[in-house]
Amino acid sequence: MQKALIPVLLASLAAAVGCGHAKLTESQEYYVGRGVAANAMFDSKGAYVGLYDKDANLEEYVAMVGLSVALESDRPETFKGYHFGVVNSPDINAFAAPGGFVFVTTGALKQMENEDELAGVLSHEIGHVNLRHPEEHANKAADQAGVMDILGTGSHLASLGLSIMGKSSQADNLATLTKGFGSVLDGFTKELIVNGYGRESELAADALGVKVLCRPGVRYNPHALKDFIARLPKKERGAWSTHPELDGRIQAIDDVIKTQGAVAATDPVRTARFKAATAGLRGQ
Amino acid sequence: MVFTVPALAFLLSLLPAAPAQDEDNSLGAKKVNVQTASFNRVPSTTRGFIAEAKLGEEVSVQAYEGNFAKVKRSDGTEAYIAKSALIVSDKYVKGPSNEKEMGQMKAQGYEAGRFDPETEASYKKEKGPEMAKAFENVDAWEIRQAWTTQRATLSRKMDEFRKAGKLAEYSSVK
Repeated sequence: MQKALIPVLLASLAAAVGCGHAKLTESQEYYVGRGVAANAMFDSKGAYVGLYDKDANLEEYVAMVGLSVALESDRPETFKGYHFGVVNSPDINAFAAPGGFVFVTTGALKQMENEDELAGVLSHEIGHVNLRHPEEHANKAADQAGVMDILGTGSHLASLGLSIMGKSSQADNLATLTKGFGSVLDGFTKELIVNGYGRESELAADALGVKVLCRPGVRYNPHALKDFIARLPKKERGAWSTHPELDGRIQAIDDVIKTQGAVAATDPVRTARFKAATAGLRGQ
Repeated sequence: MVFTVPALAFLLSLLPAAPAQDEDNSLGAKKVNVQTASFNRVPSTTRGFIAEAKLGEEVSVQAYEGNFAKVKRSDGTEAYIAKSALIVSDKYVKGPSNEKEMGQMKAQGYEAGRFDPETEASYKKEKGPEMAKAFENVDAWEIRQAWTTQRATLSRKMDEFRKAGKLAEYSSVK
């Protein structure tokens, strides 16, 4: 009976699913994003630092600035929406994880002078999410960890209402998936959060980020991103020091701005609310 | 029933692309592929709010305007929704989004085979209490930001924020 069923099942599957390489689904990207978020709460020495959750107003303010950009971007919706977090770290950094999880450190916020700089940094990270850089990395890492076949099997057989694995296979799969999940997260934690996605991807995220800042539904000052990165002393650039060579990066941002027509200036009312929102961080 | 290894290997070789989101511009039947999205009267996520979109809800795409699709809903009304929230209906694969759904889907034959709540729970167990604490922090953070998923409220808050900050339609740059 089983032998007779197999060819029929294979034929049905072939017809139903076609051929190609599996990719993580939106919901799987979300779980990878949560995992990256959890791992981001440890510093480079493995000590727990957590999110800066002492000031709910600051967190909400950062989210409002981020959403002002993200919801007008090319990818306004992710599986459970964008989340913006403040990591309790003196490092000057910002990074994005799959599924629209975006982080900025308290160290970076302290270095910023106004809301438009914050919007610029977040827009760069949203650019990565729009261009699916975190997702591409997660897919590649899952593939390298050898779990993509299992992920594909679970997704598609479940969608077809089929169940083919015994209990021991399921347990083996879970163990393999857990190992693969850890490998994917390790890649983010040990490499991408610190080093970024490489010169080409960083410049692409800058360019898209700047364009989104200039859109009629946004209107932040696009010059603020380069103001922020240009002001950082080399020794304090942290992760930003590994972003594309600074002068070339600033020139590239300028070149994009020139194509955008009239752009907004930094408005004092936004600077005032930025200073009010971050006063606790600065001990004011 | 358990397949032999060669049969399973062959099955795996047939597996298709399962795109995280729809990247084509085809018209016709598509499903909402995200948990938080909205239908709006205009091509925007925070202006002209009509209703929350439900995961798995089917719509018929009539046209595209930039990053938005103009769709007809099952009740016949027309609305806009972000392209990134949609996937071609026959590529839609629902996954569990929490422990409760995980149990329900398992009862319907869902097998361990994705990065999902079960994988996350196994990972936390393997990594120990410090990682479990970090995930608790992520959970608390998501709960604190739950207001971002309530689109009617979000639309109102975003408008107030833009107005106070002289952004978008309130900017002097037109």
